[in-house]
Amino acid sequence: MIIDRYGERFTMTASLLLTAFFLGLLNTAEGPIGAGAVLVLVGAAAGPVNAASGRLILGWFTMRERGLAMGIRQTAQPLGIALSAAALPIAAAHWGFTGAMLLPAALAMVMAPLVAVLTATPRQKGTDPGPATASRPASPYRHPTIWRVHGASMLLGVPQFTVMTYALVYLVQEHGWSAPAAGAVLAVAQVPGAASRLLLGVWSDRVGSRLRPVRTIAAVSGAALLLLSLSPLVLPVAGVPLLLACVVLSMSHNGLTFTSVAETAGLPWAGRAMAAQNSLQALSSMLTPFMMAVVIHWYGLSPVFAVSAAFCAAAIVAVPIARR
Amino acid sequence: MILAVALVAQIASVSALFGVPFVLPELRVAYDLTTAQAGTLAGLSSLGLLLTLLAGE
Repeated sequence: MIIDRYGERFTMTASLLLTAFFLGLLNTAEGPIGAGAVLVLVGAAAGPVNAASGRLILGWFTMRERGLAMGIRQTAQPLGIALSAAALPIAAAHWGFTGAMLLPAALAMVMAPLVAVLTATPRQKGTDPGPATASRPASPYRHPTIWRVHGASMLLGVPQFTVMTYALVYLVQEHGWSAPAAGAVLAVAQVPGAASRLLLGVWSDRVGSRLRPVRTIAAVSGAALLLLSLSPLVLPVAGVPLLLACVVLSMSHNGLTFTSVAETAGLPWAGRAMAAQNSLQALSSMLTPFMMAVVIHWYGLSPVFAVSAAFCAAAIVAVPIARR
Repeated sequence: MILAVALVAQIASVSALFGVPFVLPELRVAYDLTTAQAGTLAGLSSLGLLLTLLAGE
């Protein structure tokens, strides 16, 4: 709504400034409850940048340029995570938690005026506003297929966010690595992670199905997660390579499930379906640490990977068969 | 230039949203938390993200 009313430039600038402000507030937060409240505000402030930057690309690039431009923009997530993994543990070793979180605050502060100035020129190229809504067909949400794709995506979000949340602490706690070394390795792992998204996209084009590769990747991820969970008992030395495999595998499904949602919804409903997909993914990423906290509390860190494997198995069942 | 600005702005946003898990050991120390509690705290930025997405619907 804010993007529609005030435009991408205002939304992104305000979002970045507020993100930097709230990250700065972490320094003054009282205890874990105060820090938690500030982190909610950070998430609320940072969220709109994704949608606004997407619309910025739509507005500035022609139909022919847009695919590549969007593809490049999509690399922001693995790049952002790689940057965080590489830089934040080193910063935290020197300045602690709140000091380290000033790094993304500084980046947001630097970017806010650049966004305000450099995206100020009126749009020139983005002429088509998107699909017409005059004769919008019946909602795809009347059929179970799109719900199953959303469901599979949410289920696969659990291993993805489990691995992302606990990978560093697993290397530090279970394998005695230093946090900066663990961060560096996890940053490097984002490269094959990003490549795996591209390769799965190519594979899905070749086999003519988005969801068959998703099912395969869910099975392979589940097996790897289960082995990772068992590795301390069976073969501790296999823990690190298995973790890195899980980092790559668990993030690889994203592009396919998003594409599948859009294709299942059809062009007139694609925007709304992708917005729903974004919300459901955020829900998955929010609930995962709460659920895994219970597992860690009762059983320790490694079993979270076995629980994640169960979600992969559930996703295999949820993925609709014989649909693109 | 527009693409570069959009990309780096989103990198800043992703780093703010998903950076906390990479400082989990220091988060534990800062507030005397267990790994489970620190992980829960790391997920709270997603709650904010979700609220914004729902408000925008």
